[in-house]
Amino acid sequence: MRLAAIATFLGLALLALVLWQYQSTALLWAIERQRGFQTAMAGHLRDLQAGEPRALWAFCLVCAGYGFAHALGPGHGKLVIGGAGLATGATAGRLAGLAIVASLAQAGVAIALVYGGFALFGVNGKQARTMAETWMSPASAALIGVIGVILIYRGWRQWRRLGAARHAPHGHHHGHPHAHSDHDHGHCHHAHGPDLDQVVALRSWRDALALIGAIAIRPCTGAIFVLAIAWPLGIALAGAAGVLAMGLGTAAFTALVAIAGVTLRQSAVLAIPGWAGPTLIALQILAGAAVVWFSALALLR
Amino acid sequence: MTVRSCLFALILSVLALPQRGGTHPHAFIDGGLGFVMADGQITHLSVTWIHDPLYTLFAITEAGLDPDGDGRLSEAEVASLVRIHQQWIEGFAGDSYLWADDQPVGLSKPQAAQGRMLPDGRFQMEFVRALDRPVDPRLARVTAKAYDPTYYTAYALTEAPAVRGDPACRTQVTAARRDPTDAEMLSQLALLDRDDSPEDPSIGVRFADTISLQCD
Repeated sequence: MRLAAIATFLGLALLALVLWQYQSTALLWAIERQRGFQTAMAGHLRDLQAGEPRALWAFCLVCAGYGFAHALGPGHGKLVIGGAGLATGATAGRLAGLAIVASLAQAGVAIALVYGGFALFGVNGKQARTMAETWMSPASAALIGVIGVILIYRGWRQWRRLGAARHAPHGHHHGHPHAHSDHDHGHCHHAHGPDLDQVVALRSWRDALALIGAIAIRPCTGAIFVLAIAWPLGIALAGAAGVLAMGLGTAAFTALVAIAGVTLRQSAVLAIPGWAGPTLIALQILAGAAVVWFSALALLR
Repeated sequence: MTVRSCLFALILSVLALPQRGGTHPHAFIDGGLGFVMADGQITHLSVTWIHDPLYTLFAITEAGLDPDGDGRLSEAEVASLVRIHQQWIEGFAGDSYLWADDQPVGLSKPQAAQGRMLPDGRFQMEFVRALDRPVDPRLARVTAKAYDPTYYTAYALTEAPAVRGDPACRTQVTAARRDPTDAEMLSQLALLDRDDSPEDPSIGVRFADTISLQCD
């Protein structure tokens, strides 16, 4: 079991290294695909506008492909994703669910922004695009940066508690994944050092909503393009369907990365028993720092 | 706020990051550059832009043209599309650049612009840009590139660069190096949206082929 875990860990780590090395190849491939998808999208939009309802499925499929290729882009999140996969105990299913909710929320904001703007304020496509790029992208980057700072602070606090608990006579056994049942520690967690249950069981819809908001506030330019074309062509519903499909395509790629990260973490925890707790906290601080760094880059560019 | 909630937050912020990255390019322009010569001197750079179908559709609907949406534009509608693309906003350098002995040569805004719709739904536009001083290609090494420094638009040289007005001159295209393990390129990709000035190496220029002009 442990050997298998070590083998899995090393295998995935090697795969991550190779992917990192050939990232720009992946990017060039994604740009080519994106171009093909864009051309196909234009054709399907014309067909839909000409009243061919069957084009809707083809259009949504192409939009999903565009979203997938889009998520493949340059690797801001790649290192962080590796760290997060290691640092969190969320199940792959929950991560995939979050990816889908976040992407659909982002699509929803794009739809509300463009169609709302068209219907209520008479803005045009260029104005919607400018609004998204001038205001909403920096707002999102700033929110994510704040989250990164909070992560570092919390990680630092947990690190200190862990140190204190190790020296306390009634401290928990750290680093044994099965030492505690999965019950809710609730309000009393301040009295204890962090145990692995607390580190791995991720449940806070308040945080989740805040972060989905941070993601969703920044609509993708490709989605705005599609919506800004669909509205004047009189195929607003098809445009919205395509943008939602685009979000699902993006979520599919993110979910794949999340699943790889989770598998890497699980094999690491099995391979290095006894160090899971401190490792997770250290990774959390590192990931927080990376989040701050990338959001700062996004803001200062 | 518990540890679990902050880790939850971490996952979500990580989910946000990859979507930020690969947002470019959003428009694809095929075409090319050429040289217009008179009395052995380069006077103009000729530019051909063929916009991709989705961007073309965006431009048409944004301008409120083609209300029946059949993709066929009247001559007047094509002319207004040309007019829109001829009006460059302040700070737009035109995405085409010319150097004489590696010194940038100033180029005018579009002149003598013409446009047409291609049967496959792409909008093609041709224009020339006057050099702010004539350049003698027999005295200076002349190179030209088409690129968007921010890489919002990806330019591809799909037409062989032409020389008008001097049969003794010919062009040569040197393809951009695209080494998948190029660390410098990777770091540029990480800062994809940075708006460098055209003289600086930027992400857009790294994808740009180089056209050089030789005259006997």
